Amino acid sequence: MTSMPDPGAQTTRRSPSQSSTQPALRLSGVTKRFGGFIANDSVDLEVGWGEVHALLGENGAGKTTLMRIVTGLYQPDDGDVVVDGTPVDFRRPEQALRAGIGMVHQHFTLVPTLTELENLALAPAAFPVRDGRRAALERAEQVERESGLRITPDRRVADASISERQRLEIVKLLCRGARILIFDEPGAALTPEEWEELARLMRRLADDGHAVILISHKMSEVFAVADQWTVLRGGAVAGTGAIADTTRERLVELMVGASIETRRVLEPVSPGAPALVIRDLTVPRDPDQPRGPKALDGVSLQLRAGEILGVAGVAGSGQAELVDTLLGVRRSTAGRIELAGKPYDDRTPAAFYAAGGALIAEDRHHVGMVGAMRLWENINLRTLRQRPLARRGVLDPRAARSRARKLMADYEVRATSENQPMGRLSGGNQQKAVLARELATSPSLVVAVQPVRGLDVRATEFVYRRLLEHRAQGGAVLLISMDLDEVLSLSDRILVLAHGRAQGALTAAEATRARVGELMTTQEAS
Amino acid sequence: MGVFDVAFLVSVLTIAAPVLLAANGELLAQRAGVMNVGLEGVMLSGAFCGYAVMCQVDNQMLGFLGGIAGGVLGAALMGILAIEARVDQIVAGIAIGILGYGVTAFLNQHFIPEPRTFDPLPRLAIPGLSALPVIGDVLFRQDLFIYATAIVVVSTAYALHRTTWGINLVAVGETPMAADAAGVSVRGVRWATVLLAGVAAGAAGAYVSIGDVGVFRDDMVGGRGYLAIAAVLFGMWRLRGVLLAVAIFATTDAIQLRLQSLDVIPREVWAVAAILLVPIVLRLATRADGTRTATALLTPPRLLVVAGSTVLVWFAIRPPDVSLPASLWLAMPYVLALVALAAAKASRHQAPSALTIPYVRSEA
Repeated sequence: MTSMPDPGAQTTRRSPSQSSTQPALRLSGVTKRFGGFIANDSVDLEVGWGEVHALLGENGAGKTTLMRIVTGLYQPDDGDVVVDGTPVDFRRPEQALRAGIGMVHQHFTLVPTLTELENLALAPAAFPVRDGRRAALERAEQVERESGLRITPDRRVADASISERQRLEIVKLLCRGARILIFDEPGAALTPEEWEELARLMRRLADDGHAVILISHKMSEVFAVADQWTVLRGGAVAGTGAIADTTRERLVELMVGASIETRRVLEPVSPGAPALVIRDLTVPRDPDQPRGPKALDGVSLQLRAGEILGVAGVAGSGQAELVDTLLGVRRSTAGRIELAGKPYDDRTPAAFYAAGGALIAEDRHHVGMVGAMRLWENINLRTLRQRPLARRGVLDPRAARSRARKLMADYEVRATSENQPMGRLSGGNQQKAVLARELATSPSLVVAVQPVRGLDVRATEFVYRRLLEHRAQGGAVLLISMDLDEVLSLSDRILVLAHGRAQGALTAAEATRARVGELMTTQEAS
Repeated sequence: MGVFDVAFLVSVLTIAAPVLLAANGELLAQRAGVMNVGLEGVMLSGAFCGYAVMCQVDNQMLGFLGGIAGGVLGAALMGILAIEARVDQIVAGIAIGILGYGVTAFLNQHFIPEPRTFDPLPRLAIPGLSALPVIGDVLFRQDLFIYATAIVVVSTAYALHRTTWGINLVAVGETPMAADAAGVSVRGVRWATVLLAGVAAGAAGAYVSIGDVGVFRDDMVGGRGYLAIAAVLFGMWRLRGVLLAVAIFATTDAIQLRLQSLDVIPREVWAVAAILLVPIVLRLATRADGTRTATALLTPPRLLVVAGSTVLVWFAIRPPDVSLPASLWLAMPYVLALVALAAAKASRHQAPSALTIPYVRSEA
């Protein structure tokens, strides 16, 4: 606290007194590697006092890593971080906090069972028996005078709404003297009105001399509040400049990259009967608050046999909720689903599989397989209860093993034997085994979520080929992916999800990177 | 007053004090997210260390300090396993419970040459207040340990609700990430509470051996550690609840001690049992919408409860000429603890969210 002016010392504009010529935050050549993967590649970023700086980029573009470096969670392998003209070398998050850098995370760092005031009083205490509430209340009142942010001291955080919690989080940072505020997707959980209020607040904080960094996918948010922008792509800076000098289209293009269209030629298959029909599906974001913000808002789609329907969208647009609802592990508040022409309203995972569904799960290690069990057990999980693998409830391991060997040959699963524990296989072979398990029963509908995540080129190609073969045999595939190229190259039709709404359905012929990218980043339907 | 006289109330307090002190420490540790299921072993360690020191120096103050040291030792082991090594807390706790029993029994056999008996802690009358009728005898003519327990409980209440330390502690047990983000050391707070729980359990154990009876026997803590844990759960992790739970356990234990010596179960006991059972009958007869119906009782298990309470009411009016073997009476507080735990299941959401979950600074 000593190196920093007391945030309450001046009551009017707190523009950093002698350092107005220095930028608030300057990164130069910041590089961060994780093994062979370069998360940040020589990133330069300059954020001035009194400006709102938008940091844009697709998932995996390196925004999160960069902000973790700035907030002291990671140390850069190379490059310098300069805060207000002073080079810093944060080893722990506390040091970044002390230097005046605060981050409003998507998941708030609040204690729900404590009151708002107690959350502000949370602090390492030199004299532990002292009650910090009094001092915290005074600081909160000071912050209220400066920024107009009011808290309700005696309300439990659990009883506060999302936007009230967000406000408390901001007050908390201001109370601790934060002058550089980073907002990570702050609009994601807010209603449009709440967003308006937050936008005004961000402007006001900037006008008071703070530096504000806004991480966002939404062009509408960026153009509403930001002064400057920087786009990251593949870990490197793709461009930077003033908001006034750019357009939405230019930023989208920078984010998704210049289009090198590698379109796979899909053999035409005449689509058959509907395998999956979803009508007006609405799912709340929080299952405990059915009337709260929605993760899926009136989504409809139709998928026919012999067709691959790609679902594109940035992460968190409702993809996970769509899969969970299909599987029956998440409740919907409205809408109907039909599987293979039959109503599918009593949704449970067992009913989903019984109706001819199959799932290639996004989280292979937790959902897609049992790592400690053997390969032959994993590969047969779906059919263990059926003949010939089981007779009157008694498992026939010999039949199961021979079926496993056959599938291993068919799906090119490389393992020492069918007895190898699943967890010891390489990622590619694990995914092939999952594919074997899900596709061997000829399901009418395959839900594939990020099916090639973490796989190498060969395994990726194998997965694609199998999905296309499944399509050629008259199966239906719902392909959910954050990778635009994947969706574009495999799908017959593409549905774009943004903010829980279906923003548009395109045929393969209509879909271009630019067109899909634009739909992905559309502002919330007004 | 029949069986419930002043001596009975004094015995309730004497039984309650060590359980309450241990439960108080355990409450702090659990609120910070560490559950030490091996509290029994920690108390045994305190009981034995206190006794061993007494055998050497014959000074009760030093004996209690030895007991505290023994408790801290056991708790430190828990801290290393749960906080540093991030072992499953339940497994680590069970191990410490068994270890405490084995090590104290072994050391007692091989390193204490001949068993000795000491005088229990002297009772101190507080001038003035001890002259009050009944209350004076029960509350203000007690030994130092009971006064100390009262002081510890009051200061715990103050620390939990009136200090920054208390806020930090609750945050660490509830949302360690938030505490960490605020610069509060999750590790530090957890260590502090675990060691404090060790101090409390050690002192409580020493009271059981050298403070109350003045001897040491194998396994002499006799489940008080488990009762303390049950009290924290039954008390829904609130100090007031823990007080109530300990009061119920201690009263039951004092009653069973009395009843062991009687030939016939007195009418009061049947009455109390009936009083306890009747609300359950009423609860069962209440349907989900709040209306009471007799038909809701017509399922076989419910009928059994109704029949049982009817018999109890009858016995309260005409006590039958029966008694129970002493060992069954001994089981009473523990049976009650089990019932309490089962009944408290619905309130499980009151538990600190991060209870038994090791904290790893998230980089995800």
